[in-house]
Formats: sequence, structure tokens, C-alpha cells
Amino acid sequence: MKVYKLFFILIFLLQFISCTEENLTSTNPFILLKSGDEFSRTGDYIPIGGQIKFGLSAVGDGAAITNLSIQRITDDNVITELDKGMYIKNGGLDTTVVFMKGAAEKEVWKFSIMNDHRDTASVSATIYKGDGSAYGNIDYFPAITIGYQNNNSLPFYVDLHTGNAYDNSSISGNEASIDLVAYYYLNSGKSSPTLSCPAYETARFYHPEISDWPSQNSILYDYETTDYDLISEDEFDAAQNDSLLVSAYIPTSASGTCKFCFSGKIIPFKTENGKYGLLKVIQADEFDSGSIKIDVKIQK
Amino acid sequence: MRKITLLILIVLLGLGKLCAQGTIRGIITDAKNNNEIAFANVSLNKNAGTTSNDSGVFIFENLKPDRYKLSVSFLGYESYTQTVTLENNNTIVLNIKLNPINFTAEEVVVTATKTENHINQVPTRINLISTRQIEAIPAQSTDELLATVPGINISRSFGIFSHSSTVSMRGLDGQEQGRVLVMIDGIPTNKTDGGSVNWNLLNTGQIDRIEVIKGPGSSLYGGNAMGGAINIITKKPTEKFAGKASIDYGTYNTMRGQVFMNGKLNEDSDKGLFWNFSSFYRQSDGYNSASEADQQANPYLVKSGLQEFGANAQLGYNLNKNNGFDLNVLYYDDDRGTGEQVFQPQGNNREHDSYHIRLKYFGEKQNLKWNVSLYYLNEDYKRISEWLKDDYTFYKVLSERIDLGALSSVSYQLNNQRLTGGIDLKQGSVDAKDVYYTSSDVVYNRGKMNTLGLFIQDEISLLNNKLKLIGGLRFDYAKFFDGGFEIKDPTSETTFMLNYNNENIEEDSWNALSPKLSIQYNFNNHQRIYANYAKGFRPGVLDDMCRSGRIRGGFKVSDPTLQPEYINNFELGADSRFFNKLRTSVSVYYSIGDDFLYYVNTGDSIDLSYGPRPIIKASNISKVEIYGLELEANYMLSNNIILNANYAYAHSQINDYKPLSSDDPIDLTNKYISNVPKHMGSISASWRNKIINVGISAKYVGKQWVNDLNQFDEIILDDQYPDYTSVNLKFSKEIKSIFVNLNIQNILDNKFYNSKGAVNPGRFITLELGMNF
Repeated sequence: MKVYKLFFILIFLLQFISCTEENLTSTNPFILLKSGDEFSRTGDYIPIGGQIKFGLSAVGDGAAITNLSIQRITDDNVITELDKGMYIKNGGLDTTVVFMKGAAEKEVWKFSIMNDHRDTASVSATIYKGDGSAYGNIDYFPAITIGYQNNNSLPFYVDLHTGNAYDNSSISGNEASIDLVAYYYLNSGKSSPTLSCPAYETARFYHPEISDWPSQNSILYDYETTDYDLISEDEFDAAQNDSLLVSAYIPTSASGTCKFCFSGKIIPFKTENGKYGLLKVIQADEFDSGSIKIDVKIQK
Repeated sequence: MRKITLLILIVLLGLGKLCAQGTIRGIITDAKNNNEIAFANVSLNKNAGTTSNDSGVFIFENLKPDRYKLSVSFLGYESYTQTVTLENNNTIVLNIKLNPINFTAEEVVVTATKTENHINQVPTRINLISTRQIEAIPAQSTDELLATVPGINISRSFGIFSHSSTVSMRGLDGQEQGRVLVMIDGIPTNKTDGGSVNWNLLNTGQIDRIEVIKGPGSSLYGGNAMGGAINIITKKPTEKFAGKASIDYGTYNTMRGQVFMNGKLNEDSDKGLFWNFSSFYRQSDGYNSASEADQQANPYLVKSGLQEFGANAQLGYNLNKNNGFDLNVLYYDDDRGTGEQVFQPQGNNREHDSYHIRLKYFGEKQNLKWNVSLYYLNEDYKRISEWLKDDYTFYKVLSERIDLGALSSVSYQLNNQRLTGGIDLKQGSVDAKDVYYTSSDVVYNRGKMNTLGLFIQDEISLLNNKLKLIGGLRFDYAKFFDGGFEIKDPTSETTFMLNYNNENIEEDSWNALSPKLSIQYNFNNHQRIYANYAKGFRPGVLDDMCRSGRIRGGFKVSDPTLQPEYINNFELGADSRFFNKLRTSVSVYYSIGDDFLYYVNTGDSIDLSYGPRPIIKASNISKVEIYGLELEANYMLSNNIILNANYAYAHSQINDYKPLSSDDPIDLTNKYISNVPKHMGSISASWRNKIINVGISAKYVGKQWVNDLNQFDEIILDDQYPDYTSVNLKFSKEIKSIFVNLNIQNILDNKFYNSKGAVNPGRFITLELGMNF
């Protein structure tokens, strides 16, 4: 065996030694609040229940934006209204967010972004409480019945803004308005009537047709309020404006799916376009060809 | 008389060619019965080769005057090597007698007693996987070489694409590597962090043999040897220079290149410098392990590919046959996808960037033998996790796991007994963090464990070696310290863990005594019976003592107060050999486990930001009962054909469950231990012939309980994993210095599903082409 042959073999193998060390350079992401009449600005006075609307624009300085966090800071409390993971590699972040003015005299709204180098940037706006109140009207859609994944007769998909329900034959053209789907399964062996949304991955497992839709809405269900029964059926029945709908929703315990939706559960939610609402479960079957019946109250 | 005639003929033929260049010729016969051996492989300096003809005769002609190394090999016989010096125009005539290998030849083991013993002189069950067997097994990784050993359970769900594998034995949980000690050349490789072993580190071509010791080995090795010990012994140089290189290609666009080289400065002496180098690189596109339904539901599922590189270098110096030292450096780096990619270029994946440094010094003077080893094992583990549900989550686990230590043993032969003692020191540590990139959270965990072990053993041979007694005792002291679990800048990703935040976990220490007593009686050279008692133990692992976090099906809570688990094992065994052709063995064992470490559902739940999940923790269970049976038969049908069959039965059940608290709703009493097949069996055969060598094996693995409660699993859709059979096949052919291997794993293309519902790679074929030099 000639020595040069050994060299060739060694060099061939050494080609594949590569260093995988992380070498993240420092970056300077940037975020700003959009100006314009449609958006709230620092120093604005907005009555309790009134709409606060911010336009956000952010760039990651060559790195992907991976997190947007929004905090409502009052003298007494810090509430994280949104803490959302994302991956925006090109073009930056351009979004509008809508909230309701709370009871505090002064709210500092802090908007922070992080990129995938874990570099951060933030911007703030201060909103004061205006006179009076501006709680809004609500829509009420009683007794909507939806089929689980193996139900052959009932509709599967619900537009919570109108209360309309669709099946696979009637959904065409209405996909973009669907907020809610339901399915039934065993979670760690426990029976779980489940509410979800088209954008949620598991929902597409039980309703595979959703994968072919041109768009899939998300929704956030507050599972903490649901699991611990923080809102009673009487309170739900008594709600005449959106006060309860807004205040009941706990943003830090929200998910695109809500498990164990048994009869009597009251479930706060927030739709993709920022509407708050409440669901009341009237009746929930515990088999996958069954159905779930709900009452819905949602901001107009 | 016929041989003499043939020899005369050979000499005469040689004389007739005196005018030509040199010639080497000879006849190969069986040393015992003088029968000619046809089709034996004969090589000259490894670059010229031939086979003996029907009369056992071979010839090399037209050779230049030189010094030649002639090697003869044939299955069933010990290899023969001779160096000859050929003068100009000379003819060298050789009469080569090959010694038949019987079942007991070359069966010297060191792992069971830390001293050299014939395998039948140790009163315990030992399985030895020899070089010959290794060559006949179509294994892609080291653990797969153990598949046909009775009672061994291997958990490698995705073949070469598995980032981890577990080898357990004798009724112990098949997901726990920490109960079986795994050593490379006597150096322990189980990590203190989790007890795991990276079975991908070594290339199978580096391995000379593997010794498997069944039952507790804690009296010599301490903690991890509670269920048994496996010692992987690498190849050592025997020639001035030797090596081989090969490439292989196979299923899923898998390709590998590997090279092995070794040598010794002074070929004809035990004294001098020796070296060893091997390296390999493998990559594969991989395959999609998710079910069809999952693939439809999740658009982010991708193939789980792999890239891995390993290199091992050894440099040593022998003062003589029994005195010397060597330094060994091993490097390994891999990158294995786990089958999902959302935004990151490599998707979800795992990397193990490892290096081992081992220094060994051994010596012998008169009746005294000693052995000292130092080791430093480092693994930088990196895991990328990303998924998209409501929103995008992306985080990295970065963990540095270090194990360093010193091993020492001294043995002294005094008439009919041999005393062995030693001291072992070890420090294991972990320093890890989960860094979130889609939120501000960073979760740190760290911990260290120091261990001191003192052991002594006495081997006594009586009645002219018919009766053998071995007694041993080891004391271990361990201290857990510098532990911490800390969450920085928590968001909804980690706030649920805040209850477990503990920057300075309290120190803890414990000690254990591990006795062993065994006795053996040899009726003659062919029959023996033995009985032994041994107590084994295993401490908790750092991962269970200082890290809380998400695991499959729930949330694992750490417990720094975990106490060691113990097992008392009683074993009876017998071996018989018939006509030097058939060997049979039987072993029965009964074990009681106390304070057994087991993952249990506490009955509580925790909100993991996507709804409540059960809390799971490692816990000391009161009592576990394990008993079983192992049967094995080896039959040498001819010198070319060897058959093996074995069966193992294991019964593993929780006898008594100590509730975690007064309101613990869980009762595991009478539940079976999960991931333990009750029945296992295998048959294998190797057939060497002049056309092509064949190795075939089939392994049956029975049903295994999926979870601790023995209840229905929503993914497996049953309470037990289904049983399965895997058939593997290997063809190999050597032509002069070129060799070709065809490996076919899972030839029946059976699909097996793991606890996550992921499927194995199915039939896996590789074709290897290589060259000896």
C-alpha cells in the first residue's frame, strides 16, 4: 500500500469534518408604531371598553423576527396581551392589533420584538382613560350544532361572526370565514369533546379537507377560564354587551384548541380578527360520530 | 503416505523451475487428522492471494526475492501466519497444518472478574461475540451486534436513523440504558446525566469482540452494572502495517466511507510502539417515519436524514507482552433529523459532538498484575425543536455532559486463589440550557455527582479446578452536588415550571454495598453447573435529579432526593458440550428489586400552556419481581456451517407500590414493567464456502406493555406493542485483496411502530466494496 493512497483516503474523510459551532453576530432589529388617523397614538384618551388600535412595523436586521410581545402595563399590573412566536425572514413584520381600553387611568403599551439571534427591540405608547364607557354591542347565536369528525349528517364548520355552519358540500367560497371546528378523541385515555380552529394542525388531522382550503383562520380559546369554570352559566346568560366578553378572556392561557368541552363549560375566545366572545356548551357527545351544541356571544 | 507423495511432487515441480524467479508453494492440512484442506484462503503480503486446490495445495510463482508474509485462513480453523524470505530463484515449500477451532478456543474473557479467565471458568452467564460472529452479522451499528444474544432487548426504532438506542437485558425496562454498564475497552461510557450510551460512536469494523455479562456486576463495577455489563473490545494491531478501506451504498441514498489502519513497529516482538487509526463518514437522505395519516395532517413532516463522522486514534507502547500503556482518542459528531421541519434549515434535529480520551497503563510482575486507566468523556448535545401550532415555537437544547474518572485494579495470584482489588473514582456532570428563540425564556439545569468505589474479589479454585468459588464485595459512596434548575425571563412557554425553580438544589449523598458469591462445579471439560448470588444497585441519574421539563405524555418533575435502587439476583446455570460440535446452555434467574426507580404518573396535572398534562416523576417503587429463563444451543454442523438458536423468557412485575403521597390515586401493584418482552428468541446460521459466505439471523420479540399503568395507549391503540420478527441476511465475498459485502436488514420488510407511532425504516440494504492493504 503506497503512502499516497493513505493520504488520499485521509483527506477524503477529513473533508467531512465540519464545525457546527454557533456563530451568531449581533444585530439591531427595529420596531415602530405606525402613524395615521386610524391608529391610536401615545397620549390618546379612550373610554373604558373603547377600541385601541395599533399598527406595528418591524424589521429583524437580516435575521428572522421570531417573537412579538405586547404588554399592557398599569400601576397595579403587567398583563401580557400577546406573546407570539413567529418566523418572518423577509420583508419584516407589518400588522395591526386591536384591544379594548381597560379600567386603569393610564396604560403603557409596550411592543417588543426578538429575532433569531435573540436580539430585541421595543417601542411604547401611553393611553389614558377617557370619559364615559364604550362597551359595544354583541351578537347572540343560540344552539349551533356541529358534527365531530365521523358525523355524516351535521355541518362541521362554523363562522362565529354570523353563526352560520357549513358542511363539505356547502363550504366552498366560505372557507376564509370559518373560525371553529370540533372533534372528539381520547386525550391520554380521557374522553375529550374538543373545539378547535382551521389553522390548528390537529384539527386538520381530523378534518383533512381543511388542508386544501385557500386560507385557514385561527382562534384562541382561554382554557384556564374553561378548565377552572371561572365564568358561570348565569353570567353568560346575563351578558348584554361585550364587557364580560373582553374581561373574561385571559390572554396568557390561550390556545388554538380547547379540550374537555363538556356540557356547561363557558369558553372565552378571541378570533383572528380580534373579536372577543364567549361559548356555552349546551351538550357534548362522547363518541367521534356525535356532535356538540353551543351558544355563542360575540362582539359585533 | 498420500501427503508425503504430494510433498515430494511439489518439491519436484519446484526443482523443475529453478531457472525461473522464486516460488512459494505448500500444502494445507488439518493438524489433527491430516486431511487436506481445500479452498483455504492464502494471501501473500495481503496483495496477492489464492485458494488451495482439492488436494490442499497452493502455489505462488514468479516472485521477486523478498521477505513475504504468508497468511492462511479457513472457517473453523485458527488463522496461520508465517514470514518467509525468498532468495533469488529459490522455491520454498511449506507444510502448513491448521488447528481446528473448537467452541472453547479463544474464549478467554476479562470483564466478568477483571482477570483473564476461560469463559467456562466463570460461574455466571457470559456471552461472547467473537470476530467471526461479528463478520457474519449484517449490523449497521454496534448494538445490533447484540441482537442474537439471548435475553438482550434492543430498542432502536429507526435503524441507522435513531439518534439513540437502548440495550437492556433480563426483564429490565427496555427504555433504560442506565441499568446495563457499557464499556469500550474497559472504560465505562454510560453518562451520569441520563445513564445513556451513544451506540453510534463506534463503527462495527473497529470491534474485535464483545463480552456480555448477565446479571448484576455491581460488586466489581458499581452503579450502572446493576443488570449486567457489556464490554466492547476494539481491534489491536498484529502486523507491521495492515488496513482496509471501503465504501458502501444503500437504501434511502445511504452512503458510507470507512478506513482502518494499524501497525506495530516491531512486528515479530511484543515490545515496541503500536498504533491504530480508523475513521468513517456516513450520510443518508433518510425516510419519513410518520404514518400516512400524520403526513397528510402535518405538512411539516419530512425525512429524517443523517450525517455522521467518527475517528478513533490509538498510540501505545509495550514494554513486553504484559506491560505497556496506550492512549486512545475518539471523536464523533452526528446530525440526525427527527422528521419535522417548519422554518429552520435543518428542521428538528439532534447532534452529539463527542470526544473521549482514554489512557491505560497495565503491567505484570511475577504473580502481580495491575491496570490503571484515566478517562475523560465529553458530549456536547444539541437539539433543535420547532413546531407550528397556534404560533411558532423554536428552541434549542444545549447540554454539555462530562464524565471523567480513574479506574485501578490489582490482582495477585496466590497458589490456587487470585485476589483482586481496586479503587474507582468518577465525576459526572451536566450543564444544560433550553434557549427559546420565539420567546424570552431560558431554562438552565446543572448538577454533578462524584462517586468513589472500593472493591475486592477472591477467586478460589479447588479439586484440581473442578470447583471454583468467587466472592466479591464493593463499597460505593456518591455525592450529588452543585445542582440547579433555573428559569430566566419566563413566558407562557415556561411559567408552568416556576414552581420547580431551584437555583441551589440541596446536596445529597448515599452509599451502597454490593456483595457477590458464586460457585461452579465442572464435572469434566464438557459439563458444568453454577450458582450465584449478586446484589446490584443503580443511583438516580442527574437528569431525574435536577431537570424538570416536558416529556412524552406529560411533564417530568425532578427529585433530588432519589435514592439508589437495588436488585438481589439469584441464578442457576448449566452448560454442556457434546462431541465438540454441540454446546447447550441454560440459565434461570430470580430477582427482587427494592426501591426500584420507575417513571410514574403522580395523578396530578400541570398546565403546559396547551392544557393540563399529567405530572410524571422518577420514583423509588417498593418492590419489583423479575424472573426468567434463557436457553441457547450452538451447533457446528461442519467446519463451514455454524448454527445458533436461543430463547429467553422474562417476567417483570411490580409487587408492591409505595404511593407518592397519601392522596396518590395511582396504584401500580401487580402492574407489569413496561417495554419488556416476555418472550424473545432467535436463530442464526453462518455458512462459509468457496463461492460466497452467508450469514442469516431471525429474531422474534414478543409483546411489551406500553405504559406503567398497563392501560390502553391512544397512539399504539392497544395496551401492548405487537410482537414482531426481523430477518437479516449478509453475503460476503473476498477475492484477493478486494472484498464485497451485501447486508440486508429486515428482509421481510416488517413494519414496527414505536411509542410515538413512528415506523421503522423497513427493509434496509447496503452493498459494500472494499480493499485490504
